Amino acid sequence: MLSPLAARKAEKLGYKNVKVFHAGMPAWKKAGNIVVSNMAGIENYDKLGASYILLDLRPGNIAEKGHLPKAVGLPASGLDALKDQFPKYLNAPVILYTQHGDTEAAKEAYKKISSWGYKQVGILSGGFDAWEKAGKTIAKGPAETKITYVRKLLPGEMDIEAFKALVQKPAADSVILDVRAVSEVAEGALPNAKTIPLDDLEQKLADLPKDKKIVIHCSTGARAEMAYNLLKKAGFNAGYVKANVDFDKEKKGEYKITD
Amino acid sequence: MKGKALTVLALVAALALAGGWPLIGAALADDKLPSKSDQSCLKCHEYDKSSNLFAGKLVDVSSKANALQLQIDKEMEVIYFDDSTVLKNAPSLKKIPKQESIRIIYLKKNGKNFAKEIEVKKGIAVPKEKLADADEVAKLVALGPEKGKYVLLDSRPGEAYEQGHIPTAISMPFFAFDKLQETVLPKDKEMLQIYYCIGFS
Repeated sequence: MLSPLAARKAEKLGYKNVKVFHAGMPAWKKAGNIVVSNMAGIENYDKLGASYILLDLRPGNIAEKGHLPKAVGLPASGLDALKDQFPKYLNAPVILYTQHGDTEAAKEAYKKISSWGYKQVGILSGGFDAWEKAGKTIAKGPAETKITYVRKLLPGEMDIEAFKALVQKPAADSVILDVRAVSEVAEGALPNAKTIPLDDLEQKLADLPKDKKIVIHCSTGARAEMAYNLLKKAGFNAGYVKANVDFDKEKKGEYKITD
Repeated sequence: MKGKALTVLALVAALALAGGWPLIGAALADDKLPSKSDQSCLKCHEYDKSSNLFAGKLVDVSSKANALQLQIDKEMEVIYFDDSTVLKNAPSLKKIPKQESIRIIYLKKNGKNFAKEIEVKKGIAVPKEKLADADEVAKLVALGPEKGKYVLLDSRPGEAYEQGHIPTAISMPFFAFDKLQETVLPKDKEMLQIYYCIGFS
């Protein structure tokens, strides 16, 4: 929405040849074009404590002489060997670099990772050379061999593994709340879970304990997040999990919790 | 008519008391609910002077619960809808991209926020001759600013630019336009300038 307003301002200044690429960033990516990232982008993630995937596309012996901190090296067998280590979360930021910036090798890797569905891929502007020239920290020795991406939890969000553990072993200070619809609950529910459809939640607040943590789930996490926000407003100690909780229609009592 | 509505309201309130519901929602008359608006909306709209209105960014829609979540500054509001909800400027709720600015006229039903009307913010119309598409920009980018004789300007906030931008683009956040124009914009008034941002769908 900002670009047409900026264009108007430019015209007011007397510029005669002003255009707007109104479809903007999403259309640029969709057309298969590459995106570049800045060094400041990496530093912002570090400042925020946000996780990102940084890939050094140079041969291992060169990366060993100096690479960006946290960079994962490209396996000798190529990028495909790393695919399984990529997170399920497709909005995870991925930054690629070579020696000099948007080289052919970087563009090829960019296209491949984008084709896997990742939406926030960028090629580091100026590559390793620019990083070194700017006097930024350089790590020596072999680059990392494994991608360790941890999506930052949202306010109120609970780690999936911690949730699974709670389902396995109920805690005295917590209650699991299932906010799926009655028809979904009929197909199965987690052991010891209290069930109140999201739709009825605000009328049934009195049924919930104020002295325990209420851990909410649904089938994907969308309704659980809404329920969390409603309970938080009503003064409850609540949390939710962004997970797919699926119940086996054939075998009663069997369920799967996945991210 | 008005008398009847009041009686119904009193009845709802009495029921609410008996049922132990939070009374606030049910006791307020429909036409006097407080408005809440994201600061970014208040730059151009006086939503704070109206009532029954939520203006913010769409976070999520659940078709299973007929509910949506709206972010207003740092707060989240959950708002329910049904077939009677009027939708403007979008073919369906599911088709509205996340983070889109929307405006909701709401009332309270059974103590819950209920959307009477949901309106998606309309894009600013740009005349055809002033529009550039991805192909045109890609051709220029391939030539580079010198050969292509253009300046590509990114109107998004600086952080978004740093995370990822179109090659050869210069960062010129819209809210810093006046401050940056002298240093960033070309001296040549005939030179092609192309602006882009997060786009619309």
